[in-house]
Amino acid sequence: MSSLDRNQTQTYWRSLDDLADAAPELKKIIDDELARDGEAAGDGPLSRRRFMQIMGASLAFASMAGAGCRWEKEEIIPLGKRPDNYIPGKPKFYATAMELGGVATGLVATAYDGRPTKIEGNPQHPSQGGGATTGFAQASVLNLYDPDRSRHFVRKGGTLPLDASWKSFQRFAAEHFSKLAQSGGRGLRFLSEAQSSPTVRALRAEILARFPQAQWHEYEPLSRDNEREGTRQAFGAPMRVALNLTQAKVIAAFDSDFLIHHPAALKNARDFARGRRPDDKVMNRLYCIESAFTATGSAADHRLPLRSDLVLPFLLALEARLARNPGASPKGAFLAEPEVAKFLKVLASDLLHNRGKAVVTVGPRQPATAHAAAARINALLAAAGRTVVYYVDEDPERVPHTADITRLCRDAGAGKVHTLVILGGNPVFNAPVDAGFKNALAKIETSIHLSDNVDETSSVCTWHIPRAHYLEAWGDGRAFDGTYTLRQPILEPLWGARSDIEVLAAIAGKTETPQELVRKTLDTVLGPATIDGTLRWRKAIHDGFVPNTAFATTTKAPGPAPAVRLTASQNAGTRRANGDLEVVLVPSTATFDGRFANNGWLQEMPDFMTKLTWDNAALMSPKTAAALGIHDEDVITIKSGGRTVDAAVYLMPGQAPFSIALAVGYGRTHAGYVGGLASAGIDPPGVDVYPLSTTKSPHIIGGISVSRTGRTYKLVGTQDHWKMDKLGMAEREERAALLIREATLKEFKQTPNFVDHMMHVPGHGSLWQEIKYDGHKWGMATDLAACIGCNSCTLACQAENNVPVVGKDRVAMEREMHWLRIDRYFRGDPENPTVAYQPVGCQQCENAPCESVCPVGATVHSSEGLNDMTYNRCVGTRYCANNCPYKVRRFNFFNYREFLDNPKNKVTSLQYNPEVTVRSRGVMEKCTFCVQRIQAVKIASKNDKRPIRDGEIVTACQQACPTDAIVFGDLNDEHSRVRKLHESPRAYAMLEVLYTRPRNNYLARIRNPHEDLS
Amino acid sequence: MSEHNQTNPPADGPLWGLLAEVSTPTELVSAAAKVRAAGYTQWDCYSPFPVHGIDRAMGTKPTILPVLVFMGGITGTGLAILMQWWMNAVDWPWIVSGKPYFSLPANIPIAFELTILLASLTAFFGMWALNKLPQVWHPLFRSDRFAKVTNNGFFLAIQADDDKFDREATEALLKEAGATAIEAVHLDADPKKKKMPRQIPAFIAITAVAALVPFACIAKARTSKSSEPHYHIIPDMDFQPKAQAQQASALLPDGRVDQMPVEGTVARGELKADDHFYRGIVDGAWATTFPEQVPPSKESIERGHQRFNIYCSPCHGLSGYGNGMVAQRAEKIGSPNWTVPSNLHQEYIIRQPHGQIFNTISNGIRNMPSYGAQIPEADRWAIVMYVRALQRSQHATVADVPPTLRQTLR
Amino acid sequence: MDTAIDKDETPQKSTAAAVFQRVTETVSGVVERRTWPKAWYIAFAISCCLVVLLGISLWHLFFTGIGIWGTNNTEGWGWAIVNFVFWVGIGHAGTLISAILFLMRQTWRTSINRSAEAMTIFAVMCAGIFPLIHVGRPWVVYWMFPLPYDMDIWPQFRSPLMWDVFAVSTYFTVSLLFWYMGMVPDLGTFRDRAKSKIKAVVFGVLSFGWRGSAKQWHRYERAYLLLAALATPLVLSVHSVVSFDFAVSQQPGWHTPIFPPYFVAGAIYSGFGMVLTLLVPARYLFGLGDIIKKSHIEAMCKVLLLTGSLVAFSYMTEFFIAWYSGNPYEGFTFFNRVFGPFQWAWGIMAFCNVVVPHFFWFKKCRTNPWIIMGLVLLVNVGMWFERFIIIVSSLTREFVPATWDYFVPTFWDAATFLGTIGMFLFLFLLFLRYLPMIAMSEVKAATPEAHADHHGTH
Repeated sequence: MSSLDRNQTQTYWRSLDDLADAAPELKKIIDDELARDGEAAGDGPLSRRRFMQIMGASLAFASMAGAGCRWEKEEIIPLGKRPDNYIPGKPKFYATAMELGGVATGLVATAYDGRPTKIEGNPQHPSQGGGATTGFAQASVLNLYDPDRSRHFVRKGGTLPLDASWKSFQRFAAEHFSKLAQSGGRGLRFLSEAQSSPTVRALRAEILARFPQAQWHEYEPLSRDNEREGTRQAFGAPMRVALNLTQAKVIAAFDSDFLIHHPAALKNARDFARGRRPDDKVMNRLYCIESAFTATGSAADHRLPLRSDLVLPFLLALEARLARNPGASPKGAFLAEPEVAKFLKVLASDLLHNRGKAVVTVGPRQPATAHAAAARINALLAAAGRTVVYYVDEDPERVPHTADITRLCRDAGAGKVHTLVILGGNPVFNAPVDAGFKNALAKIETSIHLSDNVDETSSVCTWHIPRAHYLEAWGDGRAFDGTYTLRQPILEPLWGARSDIEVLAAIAGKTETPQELVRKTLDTVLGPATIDGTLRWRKAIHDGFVPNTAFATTTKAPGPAPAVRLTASQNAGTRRANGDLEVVLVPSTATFDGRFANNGWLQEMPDFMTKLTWDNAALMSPKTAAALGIHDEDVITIKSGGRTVDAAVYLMPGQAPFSIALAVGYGRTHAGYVGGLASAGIDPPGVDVYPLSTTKSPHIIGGISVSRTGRTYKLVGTQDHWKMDKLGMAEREERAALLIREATLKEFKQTPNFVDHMMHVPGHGSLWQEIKYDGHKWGMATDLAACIGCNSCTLACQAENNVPVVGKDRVAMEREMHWLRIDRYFRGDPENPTVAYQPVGCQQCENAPCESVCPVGATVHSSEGLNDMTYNRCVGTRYCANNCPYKVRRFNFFNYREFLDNPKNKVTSLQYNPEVTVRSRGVMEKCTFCVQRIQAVKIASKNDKRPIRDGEIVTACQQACPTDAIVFGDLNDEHSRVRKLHESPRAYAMLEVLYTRPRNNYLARIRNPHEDLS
Repeated sequence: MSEHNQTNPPADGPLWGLLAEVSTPTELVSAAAKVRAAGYTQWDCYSPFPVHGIDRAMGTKPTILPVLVFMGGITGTGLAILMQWWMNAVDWPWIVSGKPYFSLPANIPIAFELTILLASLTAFFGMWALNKLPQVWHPLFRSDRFAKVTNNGFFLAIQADDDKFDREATEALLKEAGATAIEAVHLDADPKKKKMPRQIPAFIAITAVAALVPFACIAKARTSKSSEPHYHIIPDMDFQPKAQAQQASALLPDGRVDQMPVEGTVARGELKADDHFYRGIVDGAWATTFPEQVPPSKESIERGHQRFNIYCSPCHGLSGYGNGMVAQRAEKIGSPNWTVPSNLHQEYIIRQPHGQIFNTISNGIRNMPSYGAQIPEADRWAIVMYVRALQRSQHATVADVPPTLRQTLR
Repeated sequence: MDTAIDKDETPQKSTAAAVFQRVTETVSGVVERRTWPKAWYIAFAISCCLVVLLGISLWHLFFTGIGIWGTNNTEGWGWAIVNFVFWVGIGHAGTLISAILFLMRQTWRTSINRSAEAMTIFAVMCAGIFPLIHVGRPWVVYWMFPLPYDMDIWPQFRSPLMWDVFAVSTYFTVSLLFWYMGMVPDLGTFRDRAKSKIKAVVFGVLSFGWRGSAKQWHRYERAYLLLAALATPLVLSVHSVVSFDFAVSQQPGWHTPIFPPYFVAGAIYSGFGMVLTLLVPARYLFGLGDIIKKSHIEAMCKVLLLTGSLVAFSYMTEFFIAWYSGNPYEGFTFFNRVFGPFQWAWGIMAFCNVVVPHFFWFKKCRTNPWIIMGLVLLVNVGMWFERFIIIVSSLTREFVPATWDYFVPTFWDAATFLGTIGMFLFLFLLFLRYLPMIAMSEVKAATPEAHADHHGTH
């Protein structure tokens, strides 16, 4: 804050290029800084970044020292030359794109004064759910400002730091690779994470042309190759299987979380929700057969918890039934078990009954044969071209990822590799253990790694190149359906980081700038420009994508079913003994495959199902645990072959019997001060479970035995803080039914206003003259029939409203700060319960109980009926929070911005939304209905002298929601959507019996079960 | 309680009165009755505790204290209700829990408390006032014997200024009334010199002054000026860690928050595909027509007029002769590096196509800065249109005047 | 030691002067004695340590934030307000004894009212700390007073916290006036007994130059009566207002109209508990047996029995209404108190407040100082837990089950509470040391010798 540490910070941000010829004292500072980054900083101010240490003096008193008890002096530094129509502080929006697992998603970034602060979906993009975003996309902006991103190049052997820089790398590359070129590039290998960028592809072609002997490998820990191979089996060529759920009446998902962990999850979610409109009596039916409880499973009308390795035989049995060829059905003992058999029977009949309107989808972790079977089943259901679309894969020759990396390791082990260029990814952390990547890497003399920070892989490479964040670099990619998607940078790289394109260009010895390269790619995609190339280019980057560039589709018929050899386990029953358990490695909802491990928002985001934060756990069904004599929060040793992992147990209702689910991507040692940094003594959240994954069975590992270590470990979640006693359980069951009102489609058709009959509400007359709201009357409607509990809204809210991260210890003390939480309730049999979600933000009650109890009037009503929270006026009595029946108010128990006092962490503050106050210690805060967005629209409409259009004001949560479950608007406008929803028979107010008259109404959840199964 | 070692009070000053001691409360009562019967007025009884029946014996009139207390209480109630009504319903009304701005029930507790408070204060201070206390000096305190009055002594004193006072007669009366001891109490020799220890007023004065110091400091701070920023001990949320427009920032290039957009990027809604409207170019040449977004119309020209006067006239002058205020001033002070703004009525400017003038406004020319940031495209075109009108007006001929109006010319 | 007192119980006949002299000597003797019982020094040392602990916890709190306590999103108040209500409750006996018993002409009150009032004042001081420090930003707590400061905003008078501000400050002021006024004549005694000039001056000033003139006594008595009459409804109102903090809110377990009488009963119960806790030892330490008579102690035990039963009755009523109202949320809250995670706390409360007072049916329990001490300490514990149950157990489980949680206090919760206990003791011990702990003039007035018809002469 004071000018002193401003100077300090100055030295942090600049890339070393600028400092190569800086004054000696500057060099010294850099040396210190580097040393500091490297060495174990221990319990220094640095590790506050972890939010875990006890807070010292608050910001107030810290700045007391800095500012000397006097009002701060601030400078105004405008731009010298302003761009056209630029108004300082007014946001601009840029189309860009983010790539995850080889699929690009079109995004729109909000930039204040050229500084990205918020990510939204690109509403025009054809392959996505409107403006919605995944949680990862929402949180990705925080990665841009992650203080732990590496700020300089690192070169082993070189004399640190000043000879490691982009310049020196270029020098090195020019010399090193021209030498290699003479030998045709023998021993030169490339290892890239899955990349769909045509520009990268083009560079790759040029490089391989320049180095004929070189080879290009690709690896993703959570790859969808099984689907490729499965379709290859079925059709002879690999395909991308896309769902078209708008057409689907019956959907059967086999171990497939297609609403969350799917490249087209947003589109799937939107289409799925559009297929469930109870008010129009339109309802599809979703069957889920899965081991781990997924969000998709929670949205299902029927769910069968089944070990992942039993999914294949189940599929084959289903195929046999559908093909009316019982002989082909496997004879698995579990198929004979009553509820499996019944489920299978009903599912089969329902599918057949809806031929042409039904679809079967299989998750990526299922073996290729399962995907092949699914392809054949979809053919039987005449799904192809209707409910399922097959896109022709763009490079059929590619070897599957696991095989590919195995090959690389083999060659390296044999000493055939001496230069390895690794583009992104983190193979040392997440490659299958038996591939032995780390040892292989040790044998390679020159290894160059391009990555966000000095991670597990970079730390053992000879070169580390800081990788540019997608908001910092030009680039492109292909969406799941192949639509060509462009990425433009919003700001110059903060720490002089470089993109894959730049590195490859340097290796290929090209001189064009990345922008020129991408533009060239566009020309190859669109063909040479006819008239004005510039306009075409500008339009492409303006829109963020080029329409009609999707992959070709095919409706080829699948080949006949080959004989499938099933293992003994796949033929056995569902009941197993210890030693015959299965472990399923699932993608983490927080870290994906580990790449988001250092993202505080994601780490603190409660998992959909477990509501756990800052940890992964071994999920087990209560019965299974009982059978194995294991209790909640026991630490168990999981043994597979010779490899073991110790993890804490979380009893997960609905987890398949004798199957254990473990989320990958935790337990990192080189992620950073949030995700774990061994060198600084920061323990990682959760445990690393990749050691269980092998090339043969990467994600479904059988023959597992578990044993108790006798230790226990405190798992921390945002719900069920206090393990429920019987009394509480019973009461919760009862209340959940009133909080989340639910009916089947049948019941709903019979009594459309069933919500009103669920609880007796005494006829309330007001004791006083109620306040009238004649102008605007903001209201919200949340459709529980659509909500899939995906947390996008929570993260969007966090990003929009500067909601702090508090850290595991504080979540453990029930002090999480999320303004919008998603309550999760289980119902029925703990072995196979149904789940209901309820997003709860401030209900903006008209008779707000919080207001009358505030002694200083810090929270009062606006003339538009908003329950305003005046931070500056708040004294912090916490009476309002006590008196809030919904418990949506959040209190700043500490100064949660204290980590900013450390100059290194200041960069995080660049993400803060300038339109929203950053709250200090000791004040209350809560959902404001995104009042800043309301005001922005009001001003805009006032300027062009027109009324506010319905749907013009979009709250952050609403914008992010893939299923369009949240609607905001003016209740006084009788044509507004929200008004109509409030008038829907399904609409009810949470705890209306208290007569708080919330402005947010919930629409009752409607399920569509099959009468034979319910 | 021996009376031998007790010396009589000093008899230096004028006589104040006679102090008589009696042994029991009962005797005090009877003595009081006697003295009263004797018709004395300036006298009083003294005892360690309120003696039962003494009031009747002395004929003390009931005090008016209860009346005062009642009035105090009423004031409290009124004050409380008024305060709450004015503060919450008049001066700063707010919507709280959808309730009316003013409703009595919520104000009752405070009204009650203030009633009690003011009533009690009246009772306490009223009592001392009526008793003329505190008064730490009194002639009686000069009598050692009188010290027993707070222990077990019962006294009756008749003052010398009583009309009926007569030393012998009174003394006799007191004896007759059962006094065990009688002594004369004299005022101090020097009437001005009270038996008030000097430390007390000193102490009070010092504390009073000390109490004023902080207020003095505040008063000074409020009135005096300083080049330093004012004191602000706990900033709370006044200095936001977030980056705001036009702030300085150590984290971003050239130390400012505002950053130019990355070269070649296109923000949403800034595609600006229409070369004519956004750049004033048609088929690679300066446009000679106005774009359809800004059709030539009275409104456009008026808009242009207004914008011209705001942005252009300071240099170019209201009628475009390059003699705006700034220009005049620059000439007056003979500013060395000052290029005279163009006269918009020069031939070559008149001949310039619309597009070129538009471009000059957008990007500036010679010393003229670009106005692209301040003036939106449509307004720039409106200005061009107005400039055209100006040029035309300054080179008008009679032919330009509508025939119907010509004869009005002279 | 008991027998010793019994001897003192019946003072031998003597002249009025002798009796009054004796009263003066005994009471003043306490203050004037050269050496003090070891117990006093030990107690004082302990209380000093605790006061230091209080200072440290407040410092830490001020610089770090409310987070050092166990409060959380669902349970916003925790120990701070529990302690506040606890101390305010304690602070009730004093004024009650002085005022109500005065109006009822209960002469036995004269032996204890002075120290009870002192206790009231110190307890209210301890209570007053918590509302000030429990807020998130203590440095702006003055916004809770209707002051014209720079923001030009006024307080929000619908909030029960505002009512608290007025109720507690009024109560403190009035108690202070009442206490001081009662003390003035005795300060006069000290003045007249003073050996050193300083003492004479100090007490001279403090006693306002009291002369004990009949006219002054007349107004004095009237004022005292008026104050008593005003203080009586005030006592009843203060804890009612405190109970509004809960009764006016919406939470199950809080939103109950029985709270005002229930809280007042509890307050008197805990207040008398604390009076006995302090006076039983003081009585023996300073040999005041002939002034604080056994009958007085017994009377107070009986008050405990009565108020304890009132409290128990309130509990029953609460449960009955919870069931009878048919409000499911209210019903669950009370089930949860008995069978839920805070069962243990409820058990302690029920034993201490419902069972314990009934020991006072037995004379032995009313007379044996050791038994009395044991029981009244339990009473104090029980009343603290009553507030704990009301505040914590209600909040941790109310309307939305997803937000249910538990409450775990931290070291600093305990440190702050102990600190206030220390402060309370500290002040009380100083009071014993330097001020007349028994109202001499009142005791004298209450002796038979004080009455005109005593010797039967008239």
